[in-house]
Amino acid sequence: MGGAAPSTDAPAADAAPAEDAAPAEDAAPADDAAAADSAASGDKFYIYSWNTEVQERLAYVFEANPGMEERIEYVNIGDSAIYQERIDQLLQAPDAADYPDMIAFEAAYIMKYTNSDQTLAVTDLGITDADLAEMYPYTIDVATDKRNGTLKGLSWQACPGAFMYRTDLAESLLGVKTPEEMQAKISTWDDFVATAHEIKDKSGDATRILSSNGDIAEVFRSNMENPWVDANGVFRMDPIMEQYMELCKTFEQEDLTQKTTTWSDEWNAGPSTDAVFGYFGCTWFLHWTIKANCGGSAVGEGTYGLWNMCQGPMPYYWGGTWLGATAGCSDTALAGQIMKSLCCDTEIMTKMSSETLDYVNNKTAMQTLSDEGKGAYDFLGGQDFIAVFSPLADNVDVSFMSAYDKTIGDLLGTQNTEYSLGNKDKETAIADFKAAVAEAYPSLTIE
Amino acid sequence: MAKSNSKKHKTVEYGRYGYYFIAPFFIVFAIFQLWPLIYTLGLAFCENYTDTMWNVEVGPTFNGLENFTTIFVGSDGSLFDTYTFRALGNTLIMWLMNFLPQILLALLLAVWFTDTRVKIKAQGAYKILVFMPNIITAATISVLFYKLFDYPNGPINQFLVNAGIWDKPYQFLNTKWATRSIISFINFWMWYGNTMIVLTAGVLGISPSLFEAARVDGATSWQIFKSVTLPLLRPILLFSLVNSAIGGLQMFDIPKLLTTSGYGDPDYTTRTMTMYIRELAFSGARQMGKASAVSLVLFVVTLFFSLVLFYIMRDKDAIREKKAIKAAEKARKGAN
Amino acid sequence: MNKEKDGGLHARIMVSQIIRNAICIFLCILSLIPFWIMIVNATRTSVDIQSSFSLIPSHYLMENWEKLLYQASQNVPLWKYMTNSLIIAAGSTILAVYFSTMTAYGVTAYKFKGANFAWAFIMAIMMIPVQVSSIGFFRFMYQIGWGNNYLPLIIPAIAAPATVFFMRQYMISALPLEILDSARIDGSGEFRTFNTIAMPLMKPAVATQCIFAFIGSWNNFYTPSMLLTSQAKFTLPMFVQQMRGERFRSDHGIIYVGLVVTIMPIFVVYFLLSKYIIAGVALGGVKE
Repeated sequence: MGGAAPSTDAPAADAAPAEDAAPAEDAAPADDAAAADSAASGDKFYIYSWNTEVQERLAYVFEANPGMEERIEYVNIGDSAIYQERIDQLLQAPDAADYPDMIAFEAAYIMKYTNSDQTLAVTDLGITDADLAEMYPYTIDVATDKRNGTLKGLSWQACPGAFMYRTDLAESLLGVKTPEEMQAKISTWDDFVATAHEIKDKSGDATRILSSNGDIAEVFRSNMENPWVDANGVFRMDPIMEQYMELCKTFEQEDLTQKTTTWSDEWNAGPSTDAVFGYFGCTWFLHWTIKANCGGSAVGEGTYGLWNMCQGPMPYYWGGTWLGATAGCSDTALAGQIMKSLCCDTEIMTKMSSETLDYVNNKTAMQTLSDEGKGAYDFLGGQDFIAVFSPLADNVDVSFMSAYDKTIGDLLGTQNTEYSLGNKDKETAIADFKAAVAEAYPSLTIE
Repeated sequence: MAKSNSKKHKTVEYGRYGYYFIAPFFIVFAIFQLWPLIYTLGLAFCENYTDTMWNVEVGPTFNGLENFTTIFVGSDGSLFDTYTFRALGNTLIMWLMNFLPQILLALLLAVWFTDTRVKIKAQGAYKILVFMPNIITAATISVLFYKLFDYPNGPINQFLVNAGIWDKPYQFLNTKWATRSIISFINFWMWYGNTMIVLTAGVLGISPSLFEAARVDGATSWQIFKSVTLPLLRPILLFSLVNSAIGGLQMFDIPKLLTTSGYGDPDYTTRTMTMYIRELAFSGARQMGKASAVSLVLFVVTLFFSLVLFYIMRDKDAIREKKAIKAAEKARKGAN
Repeated sequence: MNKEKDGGLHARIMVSQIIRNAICIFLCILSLIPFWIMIVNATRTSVDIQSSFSLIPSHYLMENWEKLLYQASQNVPLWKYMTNSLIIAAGSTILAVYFSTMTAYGVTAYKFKGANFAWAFIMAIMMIPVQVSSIGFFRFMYQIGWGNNYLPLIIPAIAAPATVFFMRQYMISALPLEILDSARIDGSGEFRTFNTIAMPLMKPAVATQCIFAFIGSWNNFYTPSMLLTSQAKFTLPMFVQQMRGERFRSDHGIIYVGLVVTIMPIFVVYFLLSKYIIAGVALGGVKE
């Protein structure tokens, strides 16, 4: 296996991607990498992330910027659970050779870093307002420092969500033939529950509308009117989350979901069987979760081609990855160059989207692809995924987000399970939830 | 036992070598562990957390026993009704549920494998195989067990429903006692082989001539176990007990990884002390001060259980002898 | 009468042999199940693994293996992760076992002022939960510039209180101090006595602790992942975790092959050392 060269020392002298440029100099890759690393680690530009997603996107940046790749040391922590812990450690050691120059952030905790002095404003990296023109406004809102309004991070993707369902089951169980008809069946949560009963009854208990209660968590979270914690450090439970708890209890008690746990194997297995009718998911979810688990890779295999999307009862948004430069970034020009290529350059982003099916954070790129008919997706039986997501992406409202979302969401999940199983009444569950929040964040005022 | 007396005199002049032999341990400990440890102990008496909203560290500033107040007194003012003591209760329950069967089975196997009368021919293979669950990482084990007990179509549920034992699948991992039992079982199953090997090494350290002598005297297996094996095994047994107690009270991997949220589902009933400590220190407001204080509580509890074990397992004969020697010395001094 | 009694005894021994063997076989099967599931899953496709449970192997092993090699070769070849893990595990195991035996010998074989205190101190640090002092440890390692380095993963093994505890307990029952006295009479130096007489006598204990220490270090994910940042220095469990971390598209077939590969070296060490555990050469040098 010679294969690809280590990303650290590929002599990307020409514009070709690393895979093509490498083989010639790739005699003893690992040893060279180690040697180069110890010799010149001070000159390396460290980018930290928790998986290979950013690394794969960076390949497009390197292709457009010859010579850049040799400077980059990409660190994949490999575990999003300890990623923040690791980053927080490193940010306290500005003199360390492996101090991060750039960091990737998930939506669930990006605000912790962009609202602090640990990240640099993108204007310091040479990025102008003109560079931001093609972006969906919400991706800018999320990464803006709430203290002074400076923008601290950029994203190359937009992640509006939709309801993804099986066309064959819709037709056989509900007599539904188009996404519009499907939308009419689930345009409110009451309709959704009624349709859930219909699916359960008509299939003779073989199919459920959703796999787990957790599937609607992101939908409701996105629709909170206020964030969990306001700017004064006051915690409030948005009334819509009580509606969420009621709905989960209904699902549980009336046996309307498959009762799995989100991200578990049983849950992941759902798309390849007839046990689950649909999922709530966003742009990346469509490719990386449903398509990856559909049990096939071409029309006719597994459930490939038997899916469609409609908006569902509420518009919502879910996740995404941002990049930011750290306060001690050793080369702000390089950081700016990477961000410009990855998040602002229409040409690169168009190419990236057409190859990876990412829904990129660039309106012109998505429009171009849609015009060229690239949106028609055989996995969705020819439905144009860009046409579904575009109007949703324009209207994402992220005023519900705060730096506390991950932890508080988890704490509510625990009590919500107790309530929906009938182990606790609602008052107790909510009181216990608030006590857990007070325990996790002693400085908050709980209302 | 007169031997040990004469030995004492001889080794006195070599005493300084004792320092040389233990020096590396203490030097390395001082460099790598002592400072972090003192740091932790100090934090227990400080206010130190991170303001999540702006990611700013607050403190550390000395605040006396405030961290301990929140550990011992609940928000409604009732003593011990706190997350800390609930976590301590969970830990003790799950520890005892795996500790007792683990020690008993390991002891039984160690005796069987060293029994020269009822020889188990394949015991080499048994020893090797029984230890093997200890080789796999806890992360992998948890994933496998999670899958076994998965709802609704995990193999255990499929078996129970297909065999007609239950008419519908059971949500094992949403039930307090089922989850606790599964965690205890995994720990028991992972560690009894390890304990067995340690105990077997201990039994093998006993001179075979003692067993033979006992057998020639017509002692039964039980008598040999009670009056030869057990007393001579005491040092190693004490090691096993204390080690299991320390390991059990610091239980972390399995309960952390078996429950999907990692918070000790359902409703924190499988959250152990160390899980709680890590949660305090690394998630939410990253309350290092309180986390350190809870660590201190755990240390005291561990110390208490270890001392109880030391007391139960103390060498009564040796103590009696020591006392006798002391009394004799006193008498001699008195005489002089 | 005597013959009858003998016959009865033989029958009783037979019965207990059957019962004991049956129980042992049951326990062995219980122990082997997860390995079997792991191996079976290494031969199945990701979708199969997720959708159903099976104890019958499929035929995708080579495919998964090649995918694993390819995944690894994207950054660093697979053998590199193995050597890295081996350097750390072997280094820390040797240090932990040798110096722990030495420390235990120090407090057992010599009477000196503070010996009891030293012993009590070692016991006490064994009881301190490591969860929180790790924070200070990482900060300190970065302060002295030992981040992204193997030294903090190997050197601290010298102070392994649990191993010291075991070694001392074992010494009490298996190392007669008279032997040391006779060595002294023969003119052997103290360190030589320790290395040539005490260490060999401790073989079963050393083998046991080697296995424990090696497994512990080999499987350790948390500490290396907090200290190492260049891919070329990553350990095998870190690599497997990287593949697992691909939450949205993790290929379970590859992960299981990776796990099987991870376990192989432990198997080798375990089986090499297991003869000491089985045979029990504990009393090789003792004369009674």
